[in-house]
Amino acid sequence: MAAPESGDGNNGAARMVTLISSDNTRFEVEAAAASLSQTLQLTILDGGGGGGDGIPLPNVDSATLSKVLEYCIKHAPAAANGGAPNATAVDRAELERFDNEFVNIDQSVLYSLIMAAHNLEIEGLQSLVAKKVADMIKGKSPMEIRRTLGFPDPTPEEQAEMNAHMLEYGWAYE
Amino acid sequence: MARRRPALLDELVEEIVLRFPADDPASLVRAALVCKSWCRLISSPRFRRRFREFHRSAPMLGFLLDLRNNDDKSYIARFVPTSSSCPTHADRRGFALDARHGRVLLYTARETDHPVLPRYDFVIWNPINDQVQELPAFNWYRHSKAPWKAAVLCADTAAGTCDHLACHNEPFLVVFVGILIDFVFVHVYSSETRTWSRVITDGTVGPPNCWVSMTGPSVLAESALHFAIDGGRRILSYDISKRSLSVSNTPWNHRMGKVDIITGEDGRLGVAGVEGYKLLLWSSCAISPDNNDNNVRIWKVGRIIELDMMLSIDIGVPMTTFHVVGFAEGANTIFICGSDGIYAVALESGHVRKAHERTHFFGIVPYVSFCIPVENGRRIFRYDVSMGVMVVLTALWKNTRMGNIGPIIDKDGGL
Repeated sequence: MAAPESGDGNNGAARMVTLISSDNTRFEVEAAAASLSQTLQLTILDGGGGGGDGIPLPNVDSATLSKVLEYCIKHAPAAANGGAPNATAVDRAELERFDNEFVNIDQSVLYSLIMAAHNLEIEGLQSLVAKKVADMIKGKSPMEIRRTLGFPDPTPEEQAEMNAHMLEYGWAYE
Repeated sequence: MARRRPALLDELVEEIVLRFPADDPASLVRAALVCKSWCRLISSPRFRRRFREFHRSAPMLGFLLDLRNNDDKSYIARFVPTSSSCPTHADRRGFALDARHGRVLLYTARETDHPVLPRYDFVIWNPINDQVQELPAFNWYRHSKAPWKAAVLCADTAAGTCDHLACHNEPFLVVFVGILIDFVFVHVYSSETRTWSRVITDGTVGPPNCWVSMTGPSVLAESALHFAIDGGRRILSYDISKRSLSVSNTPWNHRMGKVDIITGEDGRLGVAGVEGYKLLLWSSCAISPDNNDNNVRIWKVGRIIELDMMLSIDIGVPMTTFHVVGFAEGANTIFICGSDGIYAVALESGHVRKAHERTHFFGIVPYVSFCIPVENGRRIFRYDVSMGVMVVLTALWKNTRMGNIGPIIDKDGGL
């Protein structure tokens, strides 16, 4: 179904929506930015989030949400151009620079960020953080990967089971 | 939501591990050893498919170096890894001729077999899963004036229906091109019919007694297989759709030693050669037939890579010369040989790195393929708790190499 606004968001002030984090902080952003999230886009197209209602996001805390919105606001103009075929090299380089700095953050924030990107279905953000995490762990040993991602160290039983598993089955490549 | 940090969802683990570099297969193995759920995920067919689709083109895993065992005059193809993986059997008896779409074509020479009607024995080897397939013996002339070349490719290449991401278990073709005086013969083996068939028996290559070396793999471009003949002065092309032959010129000149064919700009045929310390890359920009049924190609220099600027080696020795020895199709890497070893020049990044110390060998056949761990009953390597996978991979590779054939090749590569 067509959206009530018919996608004509450029007449006068842009439409704003309110998002409410799990700790009840309210964020007001442009609908275009919030629509980078596939989940929110549906709600917004249905006319939700306007006025005093707000869209509750019980899985995202305020610190993570503000970070997510920082990404969305920066990427919204490019996304509005449909993958930005007419974007200049300068614009693309600027976005790339922003992305690199954006993920240069503490690991626990990265962790909440990728979960939020996944829940809100923001594909670009999810792949940006996934790439960052991949770069962080690709050269590490299995135990170092566990520690980097904050997994508890395996119990002796788990370790023995894993070793037995490896010894028993062996591996091949395909 | 739980207070403590919840485990990463499987979908997110998949998204992260998908982004591991394709030319570092050991990183996938290490990730698979993080815990059982990661192990299940990474060794699933779904992950393998997604990994190939995500990376789109296969990485170069290494190259085969053709060496000769001086004791019994047999050839050995040695897999030299350029990535963090290596097959269980790094050395294979035979002469590596070509590699494409996950397979290596080996010629297992039998000098002593039938003196009158010599046999050509070929073997297809998949270094990743170590499967070997012998082709039925094939009879053709053996004579110093009857040189030949051979290539392997996925059977669906001509139809264009395969993306070649995972066709290593699918049907394949071997194309044999033999030259007798000035006639060209093309024989094609099909893995589906398990037979050789004569496709062309009366092609011509112009002036007789052209010089063809068995070494120098083929290049697949412009829907044809191309072979360098006459030391790179001419190109013999076999169109795999039309099943027709043509011969064309290269931009060779006397200042270069050997030139090699490559994939040039826009997937067209290219040529690489070294003049002094300059690596010149030509692209074929136009092609027109001449009066003798040959094709005249117009070449233009697309790019020049200054080797003395790129190499970190000491090339102060005035005698240092470079020549092109191989090209990794799909991975866009040119191999050049200098006076102190083999260098790999990655064309996209312009990055040059030393690939091997050896300077005496018979040929180089780069191997480009995906290498993704699968869990099965066949033990290719073992996980050692105290050491870590990389070490085990390397150690096992070394042991296998020594145990199999042993260090019997002298440092000059024979002869």
